[in-house]
Amino acid sequence: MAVALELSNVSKVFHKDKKPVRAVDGVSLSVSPGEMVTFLGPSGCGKTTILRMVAGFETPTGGAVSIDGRDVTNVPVNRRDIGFVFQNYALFPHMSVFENVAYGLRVKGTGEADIRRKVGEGLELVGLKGADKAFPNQLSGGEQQRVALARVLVLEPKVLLMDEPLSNLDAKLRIHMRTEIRRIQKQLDVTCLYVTHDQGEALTMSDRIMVMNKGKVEQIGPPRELYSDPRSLFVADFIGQANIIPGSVVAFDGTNVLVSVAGVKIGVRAVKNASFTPCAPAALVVRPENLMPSEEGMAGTVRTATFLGGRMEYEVILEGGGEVLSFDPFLPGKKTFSEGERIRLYFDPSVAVALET
Amino acid sequence: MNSKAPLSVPERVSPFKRDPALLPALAAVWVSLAVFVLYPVIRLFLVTFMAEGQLSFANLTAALSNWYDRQAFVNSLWLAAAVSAAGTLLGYVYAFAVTRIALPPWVKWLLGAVTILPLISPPFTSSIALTLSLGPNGILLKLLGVGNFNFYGFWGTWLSETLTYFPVAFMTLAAILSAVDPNLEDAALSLGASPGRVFRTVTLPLSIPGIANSVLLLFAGSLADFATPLVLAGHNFPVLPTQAYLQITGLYDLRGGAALSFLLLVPAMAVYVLQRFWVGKKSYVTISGKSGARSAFKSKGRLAEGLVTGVCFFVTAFILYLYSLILWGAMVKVWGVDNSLTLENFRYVFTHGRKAILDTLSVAAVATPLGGLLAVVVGYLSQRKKFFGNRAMEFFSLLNYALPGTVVGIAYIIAFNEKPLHITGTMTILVAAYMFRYSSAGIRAVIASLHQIDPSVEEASASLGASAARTFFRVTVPLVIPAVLMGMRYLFILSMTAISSTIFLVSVKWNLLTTRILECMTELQFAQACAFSVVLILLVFAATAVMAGLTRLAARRISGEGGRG
Repeated sequence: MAVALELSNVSKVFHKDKKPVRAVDGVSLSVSPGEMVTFLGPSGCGKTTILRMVAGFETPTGGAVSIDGRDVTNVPVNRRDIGFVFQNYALFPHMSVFENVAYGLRVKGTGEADIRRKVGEGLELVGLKGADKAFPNQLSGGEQQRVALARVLVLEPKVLLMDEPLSNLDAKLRIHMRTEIRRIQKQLDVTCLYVTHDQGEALTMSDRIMVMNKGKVEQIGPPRELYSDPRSLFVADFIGQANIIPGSVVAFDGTNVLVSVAGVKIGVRAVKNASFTPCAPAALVVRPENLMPSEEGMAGTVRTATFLGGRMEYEVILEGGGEVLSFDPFLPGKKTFSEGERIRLYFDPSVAVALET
Repeated sequence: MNSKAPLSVPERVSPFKRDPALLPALAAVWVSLAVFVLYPVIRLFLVTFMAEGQLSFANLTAALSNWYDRQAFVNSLWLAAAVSAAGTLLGYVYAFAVTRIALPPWVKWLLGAVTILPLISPPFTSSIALTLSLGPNGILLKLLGVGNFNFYGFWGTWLSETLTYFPVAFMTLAAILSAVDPNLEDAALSLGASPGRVFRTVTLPLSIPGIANSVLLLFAGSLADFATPLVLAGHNFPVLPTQAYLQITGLYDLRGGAALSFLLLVPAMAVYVLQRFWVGKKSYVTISGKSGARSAFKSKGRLAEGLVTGVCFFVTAFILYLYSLILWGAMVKVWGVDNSLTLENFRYVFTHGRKAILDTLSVAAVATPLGGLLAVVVGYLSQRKKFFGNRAMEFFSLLNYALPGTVVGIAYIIAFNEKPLHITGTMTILVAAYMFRYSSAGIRAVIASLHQIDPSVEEASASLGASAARTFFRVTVPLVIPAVLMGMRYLFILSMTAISSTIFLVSVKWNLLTTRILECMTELQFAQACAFSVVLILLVFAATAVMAGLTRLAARRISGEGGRG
């Protein structure tokens, strides 16, 4: 049942104070049937604009959108068979929960008996059985969110589009709802695009993540790939915490690169399609959990030492300049460092990656 | 650190002790409300319900048994219903065009500007222009070749009042339509609904509170309107305000006039109470978190858009036509007879009308700052201080505005034409009439702006050691100044253009521009009436432009950004 979705070279130019702003700049993406793709990026990066163009709320300035092989670029919203979940839920305040969920079915001209059955099923699916007589303002944020979800799911849309649907919920509920949404999406096998600025949401829910910055795609890939092999400093920094250590290239063989960092020569993986030249600057991306106190490695001074229960966090000023963050699992009896103390940090070169700067 | 915090004050201490200025301020407000709002209304009731020294319905039954007066009552209600329906519909069309259709900015500006015109004009403007075009020898009639057409009566009054009052509907509805979360309409579209269905099932139901409010406002406006029916209704279509006026000025029958104005007061009060306690509570417009981007204007269907824009253009053109007619009428020698241009009429206005101009300006200039002060004090007391009767204080301070002007005027001549307060014929009575009737907008604006200012700002001042009076003058007043100036602008406009209450209160010593226009109309001096209207509109326009500038300046100084005009 699930359908494919294709964006080819989509752009959107807005006019702000009579100056054109490229909110979305040549974005291409193909989504397989049943796949869940998250758009991740800072606010203003164009992720919501893309989603609204897929929905049909905005018309692309250039490029094309196709759903299930059909070009829908100029098809109005109400004939696209999409389900859109809004950040503020956009429940109709003058209708009961039942009428909200039944709205799309009534538009389709579904029979009253079918409407009753489908609304019941929809509310059951999102865990709100029996709430059909309530009005939106009598529900909590989380419940409103579920109604909004049920309202689009009863229509069995070809594509489910969600615009930061969890950002108005509190932290605990957010974590619960993200597994819930993922479960429903898999159960119904519906193609889904999901916009968020929360990397935790993106990492836990998606088949693939599209990281965006300033209207352009930075990288598209499965969560783990993005974490272990960021293609750019932006992605490295945006997903998880990263130490970006400046160094210079010594040698490069196409897949691995020898980098000189803080007086030490280290061989690490090179970013894909890189072209390092000797003596050029390079940046080493090392995750804090891969940078641990040791007998050998880069020397530095502890600036702050913080105990977090499960681990110690050290902010270290390296001898060659630069500041890094190190996570050390805490075990009773293990040596800890205090502020001002000399420290050496070691990392496993096979899990670090070098980027061009 | 905590010994001087306001929280340490025991809760049972009387507010009067904590704030020594409160009692005198309260006393001053209540005394003035009692004298200029409650007392006249009570006197009106007494005159209506007392006959030969005892309680009686004789005056009322006399009015109700008179066929002509009964007809006036029915006509008034029927006219008000028709005007509120048509005006609200037209206002909705305008508001929809401005908030929902992708029109070029200059078109939206034009639509907004045209709706301002009737609001700052004297109430006769559209009546005069309509008389000149559709009355006997009207130029539109000549143009269309219609010979025998009686424009006076229901249709003329209805048309003129609809054009005069629809801007009120427009402002109410534009506010509510632009407050409807655009995501709701987007959501309905994404669920498959057509633009027409979205309008029917989402936009329209969500604007119902605004529609109800607009219907009530226009009903009250038309019910109270005095100037339009006086010029256009004629003898076959009597309405209450003009009947009451004629009863008093023509027949010197104060009791009959009081009874008729009581009949007018009952539906007006019903509307006021409905509006305050029913419509006020029924609103779906809520701000729930971040509502996301306002989406680009999506087509509502070519037919609907064409129809809405067409209506707006037609009405806008008609209003502009009416106003140019006034200007033209002011510049010809004798309307319809000798159409050569002249400035003679303006010379007449500045010589024979000089006193009226100066009197009107003096009354408005005195009433405006006093009304502003009243608005600040009443707004502050009722919004910020909790004490017995502050809801009642708010209610009475807005009461005179809710009553039709004719009722207030009649109540004032009944109350103030004899001792102990014999002030008819003075400037005081004109100022008081305007001040207590038209400061309502200012009071409501002050209450609204205080509602938005967190009380902690004032608490901060108090915790820094300032007295209540110092906090009020140094913190609260500067923060509400934009609201007060807005209210004063409104008060000034109405003081310049009102007639319904003050027609009873003018005298040889104190005359007003609006009454001069009425005199010209009754003596069929159309050219002079037009010239007076033009001068009055220009005066109001100049004065409001100055005050709008002041408002913007004050708003900028306080918020650091452009204020709302």
